[in-house]
Amino acid sequence: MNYRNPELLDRLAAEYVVGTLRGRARQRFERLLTEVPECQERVDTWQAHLAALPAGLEPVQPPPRVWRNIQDRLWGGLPQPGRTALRIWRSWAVAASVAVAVMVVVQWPIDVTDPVPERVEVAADRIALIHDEDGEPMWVVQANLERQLVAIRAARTVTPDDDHAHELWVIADDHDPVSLGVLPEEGRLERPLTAELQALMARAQALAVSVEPAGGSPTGLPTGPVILEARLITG
Amino acid sequence: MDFDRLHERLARCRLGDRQAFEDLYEMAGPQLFALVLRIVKRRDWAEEVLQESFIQIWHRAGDYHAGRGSAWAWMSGIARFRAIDCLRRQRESVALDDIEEPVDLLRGPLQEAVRGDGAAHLAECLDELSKDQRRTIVLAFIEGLTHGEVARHLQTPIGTVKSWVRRGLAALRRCMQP
Repeated sequence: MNYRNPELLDRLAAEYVVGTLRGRARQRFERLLTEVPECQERVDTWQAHLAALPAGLEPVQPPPRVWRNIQDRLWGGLPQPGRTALRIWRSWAVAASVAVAVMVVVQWPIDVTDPVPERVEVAADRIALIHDEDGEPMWVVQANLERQLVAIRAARTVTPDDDHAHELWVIADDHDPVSLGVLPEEGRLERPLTAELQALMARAQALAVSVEPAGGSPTGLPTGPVILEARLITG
Repeated sequence: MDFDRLHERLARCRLGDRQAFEDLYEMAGPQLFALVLRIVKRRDWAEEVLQESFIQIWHRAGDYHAGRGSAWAWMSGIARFRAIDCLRRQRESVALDDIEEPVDLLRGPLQEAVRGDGAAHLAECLDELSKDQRRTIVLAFIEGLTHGEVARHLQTPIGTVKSWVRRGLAALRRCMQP
């Protein structure tokens, strides 16, 4: 097929937008979209032609967890304080048979795990090293408050089962735990810090890891057992 | 839905304004959820598609400009493509019992609300199609049906359905062009 033929391109774009272009033909067209700018223009035009149709559907309110998940994925969760949560949190911290991580004072720059030093992109001013109960490093958390960034690196591959995730929380005396998002199973990720998290990180004493349903806590506060805790130190 | 406000909020998302993003979600989320739900049919899939769509909207807000159509057209396009991708991943055929024949979406009680996004012009152009052409295009677009699914639903040979879609779209193209 000659994809340079404008009429054919337009026909494919229309069926792509309507959704009747499927299977291999859809895949081929999607490749073409990235290669031929005119393709994207045609798709945009058809999308604009037809957009009024679904605007006429009766709206359906999505459940609140959708917005929470979006926030969590983009910014590591936003605080949703509730007075009882702090008490629950503290009772866990005392009563639960948790493996409390050893506080480790590290010097910056740290490189405890990588055989090959990686380029440091975040000059950390708050650091925590999260260990398992055997003292083996699991995650390194580095926050740059000025740049409002937090970098989290998995020191080794940590794979919870399919139904669960490890979620990281900022613990301050005067505030409910606030999520820093789901911990990476491997590799390194960077998340922006909200102004609120930035302020909280500046005065927080510790980080904690809880086990949550896959995708993270459905409530915005820890719901599962706290398995690890680590002191947050100034780097 | 107020399409001008949607546009303004999306423009602010490009500057990293999270409050604008939250407004955008509140304004367009329920409409986009309805759209996605009609395509994927399952609430859990629809929630995931909506979530992924908004994450993409935030990350790609910088790609949006008025030349690409209205903010609603751009956002609904993202949600629709994600919904169709979801069906493709699940490789599950739609249970045809779940299909609702779309009512006249451009003339229902929400007509006033959608008029701002070219609804009136689209309604005129859809009127110029044959009833079968109009019905197949709207079914495929709103319900996310393939040619084969439309054919089964309408108990019509697939070749006939393909030709209704193709000819209907050709007629729409002629009519919609400025």
